[in-house]
Amino acid sequence: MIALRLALVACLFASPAGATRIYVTNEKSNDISVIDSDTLAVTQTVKAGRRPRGVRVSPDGKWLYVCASDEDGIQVFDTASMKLLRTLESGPDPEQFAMNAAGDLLYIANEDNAQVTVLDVKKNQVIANVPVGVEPEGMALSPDGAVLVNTSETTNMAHFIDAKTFARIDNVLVDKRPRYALFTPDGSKLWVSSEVGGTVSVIDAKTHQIVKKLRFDVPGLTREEVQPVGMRVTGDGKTVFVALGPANRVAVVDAETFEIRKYILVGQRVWHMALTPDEKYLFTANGNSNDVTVIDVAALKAIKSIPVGQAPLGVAAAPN
Amino acid sequence: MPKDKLALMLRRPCKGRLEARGRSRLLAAALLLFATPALAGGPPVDDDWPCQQRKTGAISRAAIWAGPEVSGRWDDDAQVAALARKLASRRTPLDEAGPLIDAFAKEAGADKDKRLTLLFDGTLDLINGERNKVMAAITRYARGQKALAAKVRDDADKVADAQEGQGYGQDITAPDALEKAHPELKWDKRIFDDRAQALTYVCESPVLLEKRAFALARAIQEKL
Repeated sequence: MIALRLALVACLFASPAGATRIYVTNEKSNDISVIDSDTLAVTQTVKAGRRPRGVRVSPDGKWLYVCASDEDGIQVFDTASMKLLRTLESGPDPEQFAMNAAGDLLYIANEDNAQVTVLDVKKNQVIANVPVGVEPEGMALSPDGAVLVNTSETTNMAHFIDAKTFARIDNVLVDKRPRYALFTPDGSKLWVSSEVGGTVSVIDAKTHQIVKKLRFDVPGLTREEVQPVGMRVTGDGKTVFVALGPANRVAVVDAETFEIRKYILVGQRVWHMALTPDEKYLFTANGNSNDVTVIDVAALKAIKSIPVGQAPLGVAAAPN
Repeated sequence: MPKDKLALMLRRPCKGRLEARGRSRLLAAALLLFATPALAGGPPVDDDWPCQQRKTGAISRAAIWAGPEVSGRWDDDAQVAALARKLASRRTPLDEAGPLIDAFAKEAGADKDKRLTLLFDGTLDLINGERNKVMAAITRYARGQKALAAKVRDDADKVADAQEGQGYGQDITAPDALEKAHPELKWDKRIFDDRAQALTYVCESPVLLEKRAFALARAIQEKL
């Protein structure tokens, strides 16, 4: 309660950060919806390659990277004009990818051929192909850039990889169908969501031991309906949001005590999420209701549903 | 894997004669060509469930509703029951649902939240009932396909055996030759293929009902 009040007070005094653009990939209508974080409305819809999924914005905000999964490439858009500039060599069927702090390297999970492609963005050159488990999916780079993590859906592992030599450091077995990996801002923990297992494993980034396994018992729902996928963490590392797929809810987890503070009802089949840089809003892509839910982070309340394209999956916020 | 599932459906018990097996395989391959798209993906949980989409139980209340729970039966309130039936019916376009719910909420009186909750209960009950029926029909449909596949397989074998007995020679392994000589086989195959294609659309029905239930729940919840 006190924490909530403090958060409210903090919010009142936060400086107005100005509008941010939110980019949403629509897997079935093959386009990108651009949302203005001030007006909370779609300002533009841009055609993308077939089956757009993973999406990220470069650290300087100039480029938008979109996995066009069925075209085996990563498309680069100029965020000022939203024109397609070029398509990068991603390896087959790219789904999710991580980016280094400088924004010049992409680490791409290739679902079809059990490898991670490391790509030099400027040269559009593949600098490494790292073999991993079957159906690689989640990708995360540690905040210091030293460790790369990939999760493989069928092998059910989080693979720790040296980001310089690309040698495998360790494999950690998690629950079924791990979909997403997330480092806490201090780099001490790695959170891995298991879609079929219905859990999130919190792994110590140094010892590679699972320190906590989170289950989500949403009242009135069967265990099968709870399928954790996308995750986001606040900048202070204190709160993690977990999208629960067909449970149509986002779990709000206290990252220190692992207590689940709230389940917020959002749209239908929630996949991935994005926080605005000022952390005022969390946007969730809801694959079956074809909309994006806006969550007021201070109040932990869904405040709006914004209709987008068909089957929205990925969301990214532009840095301010 | 789905391909294996269908191959199993079409596999003929081994009679130990290579030629006969070869013919059977050719037919099976021809059927597979048409049938796979409808049966792609999904874990083999239920043998009679032919859809790529996972078979799930009734839409749970909690998955789509964050509003209150109330006691009472929705069909005891005639106005609520009538509107629930109208909303649940697929003949009512979703964009007409909003204004209907709006009008109801305005006239709902002191018990507004309770009556809106009952309206949601009724809508969900009706849609779940409809969804159950659709899913049972899909299962029946899949069983019919299985039986038809077995019939095509057996007929093809019989025809092939008969031809072999008459000493027709090598070209009897061509499926075309079989079909020309026995048009009824061709018709059965065609029905099988048509149904397999239709299944893709049929399988979408439960999902469409889930989407409808969610959209209506949200529209009702907004009026609380």
